[in-house]
Amino acid sequence: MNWILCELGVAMPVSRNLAIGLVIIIAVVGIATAFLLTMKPAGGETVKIGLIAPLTGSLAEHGLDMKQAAILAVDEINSKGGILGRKIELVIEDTACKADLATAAVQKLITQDKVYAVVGEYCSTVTLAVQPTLMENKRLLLVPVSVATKITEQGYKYTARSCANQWMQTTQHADFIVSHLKPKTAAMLGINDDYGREGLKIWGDRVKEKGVRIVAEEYFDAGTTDFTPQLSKIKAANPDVIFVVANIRDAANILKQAHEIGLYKQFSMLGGVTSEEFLQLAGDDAIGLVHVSYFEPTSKRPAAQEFVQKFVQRWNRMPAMYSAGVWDAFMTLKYAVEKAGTWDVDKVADAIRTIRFEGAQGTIYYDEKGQAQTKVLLVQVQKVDGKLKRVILYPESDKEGEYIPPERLWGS
Amino acid sequence: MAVQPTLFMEQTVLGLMMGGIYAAVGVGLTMIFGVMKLSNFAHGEFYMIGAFLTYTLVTALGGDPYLLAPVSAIAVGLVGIALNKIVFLSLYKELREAKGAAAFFFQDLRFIMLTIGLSILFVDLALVLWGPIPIAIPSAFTSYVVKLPGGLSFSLARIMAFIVAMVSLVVLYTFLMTTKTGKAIRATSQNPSAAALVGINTYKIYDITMFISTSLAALSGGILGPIYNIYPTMGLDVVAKAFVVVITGGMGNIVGSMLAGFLIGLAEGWGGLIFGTEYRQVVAFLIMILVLWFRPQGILGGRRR
Repeated sequence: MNWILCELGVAMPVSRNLAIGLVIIIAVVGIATAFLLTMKPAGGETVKIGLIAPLTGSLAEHGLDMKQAAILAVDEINSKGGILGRKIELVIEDTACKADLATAAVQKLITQDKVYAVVGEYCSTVTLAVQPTLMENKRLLLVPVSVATKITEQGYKYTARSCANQWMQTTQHADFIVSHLKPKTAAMLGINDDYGREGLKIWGDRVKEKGVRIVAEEYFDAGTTDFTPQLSKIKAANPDVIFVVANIRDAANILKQAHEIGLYKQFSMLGGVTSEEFLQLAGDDAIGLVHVSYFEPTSKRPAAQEFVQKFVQRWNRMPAMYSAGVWDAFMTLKYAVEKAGTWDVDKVADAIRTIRFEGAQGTIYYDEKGQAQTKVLLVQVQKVDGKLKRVILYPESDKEGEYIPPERLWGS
Repeated sequence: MAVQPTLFMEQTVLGLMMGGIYAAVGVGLTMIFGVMKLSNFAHGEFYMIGAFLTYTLVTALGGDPYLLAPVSAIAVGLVGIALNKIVFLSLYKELREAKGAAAFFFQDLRFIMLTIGLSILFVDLALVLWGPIPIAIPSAFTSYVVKLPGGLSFSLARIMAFIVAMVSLVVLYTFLMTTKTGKAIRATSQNPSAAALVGINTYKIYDITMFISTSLAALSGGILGPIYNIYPTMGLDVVAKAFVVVITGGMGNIVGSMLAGFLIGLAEGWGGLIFGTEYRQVVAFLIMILVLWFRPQGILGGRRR
């Protein structure tokens, strides 16, 4: 800076600080003006949509499911001329499932990228953390996979969730277990966070209402690899059914280690385990497991088949449930904007509550609070022609096979 | 709930088995601390790389992870030596000149940041090389379950992992106590300047220490791979436990770390039964705090080997 001032001949000792100050102010104002001019949104150009997902960290595999589905959905929309003639531009931000990183990412999406809407996130705690910021800035938040019931219960106008929430999944799961498996006693094992605690609470209350006795309730911390202490306590309590809330990595370990210590009981799990990777990880230890799912790639519905076909073609792997949630979130945006006939965010938020379309998860329509009313599937892992397969047991319309009790699978 | 005898037995055996692994990982970490006066925050990543390398060998060559884990351990050990020569050595030399041979103190902030940086680098490298999706290492031993009277049963894989960990610990102990190189390592750990005076090449000792430490971590990762599944951040989960073992056993004390490993493993098993399994992680740290409270030098601290 000094040499510039000397060259200009203004470097007099007294006014030197003043001169430096003036140059800095002029530079800052100049850069800011140039920045604002380039950032000015121009009509008819692309609309930016943000995706926030855990692309690194221990949940990165789910982030990948989400990212791949988002890229696929945006390409699909753009190849058909975009929405109302405007192409979509995807801005992907990593959260690592951390609220602070996600808040920073969302700030960046709003102020720098000027996104129209944000799709995300995987972790409920993160979604809840970024929700107020997005709502204050009147940005649509399309929640594809976070299941915490509270997200839509708060009644934010610009929030919509395209998958079944925790309450819907867990109660439908509990009802199925009670009516089809008729257990007298149950044990519960969950991850020691909001997701696990809420899951065990809802499930436990629901089955207790129907006369099932809870004989063990165990928790494990995120990052645990050894589940044998919890499992041997459960084994000692001898329950008819073991309800587990865990991510795929933990769930596979739990099943493997349960069989290792001779615990061959009926396991039933929440939706975290619906992916091909889970079956590869757990292998034959997954046989017999009953779990809830909001999307099955084997579903015969045409919209689901179309999605699966496109996903496999593009990424050479089967889409997981999380991919379906993201796909349906983007389709929700597309149909709502088209129905509203405008990009006006208030009108689009209203339109979301009135649309009805065939998504990857089935027929999707939203209630007043922006919660999608989707059908939940119950599946059992069975060995079909020597290969592990999730066989849909419920509802009747999608049913692929019958429930096989663990005694028949493992012997008594 | 009254603790049933079977449950207690099961937890004792499983706790001891886990303890063997904690001991193996902890001993590697304590050696680096004892000999090189360096807290290696990237230790868990050598464990992770050992697991992934074993997986890669198993898929490329076929064969069982329990045969190939030692191969990957040696490979990772060589990486450890290379890292020591390329990254750490210049810092050692700088520190030695700055502080003089008498004040041979390596516990420098630059080392801490360097190893934390390496840890992040390795995790991201694994993310690029092997992807974020957890992988199960296939082994014939996982499906064999050994049934014992009283309803106890353990997979052969877990027993194998325990045996491999035990054998490597015994071999290491014998090596340190009886061989010339082992004695040189202990001498360097006690007094590097004096060791250098009697003609021990301390830089070479650092290479050997680094090799032993990283290959033990890698071996543990490789033999646990078939029991648990493996993923890039698995090292972060284990490194905190390894530091608990090191501190509880007495920083730099190898036998102390071995004992502390078993102690922590057992305490976790029993603690889970008594206090509830969600407090299992707390038990390990509680023991460390209690040891630091009543015996700040660690259970075997002050008797440096």
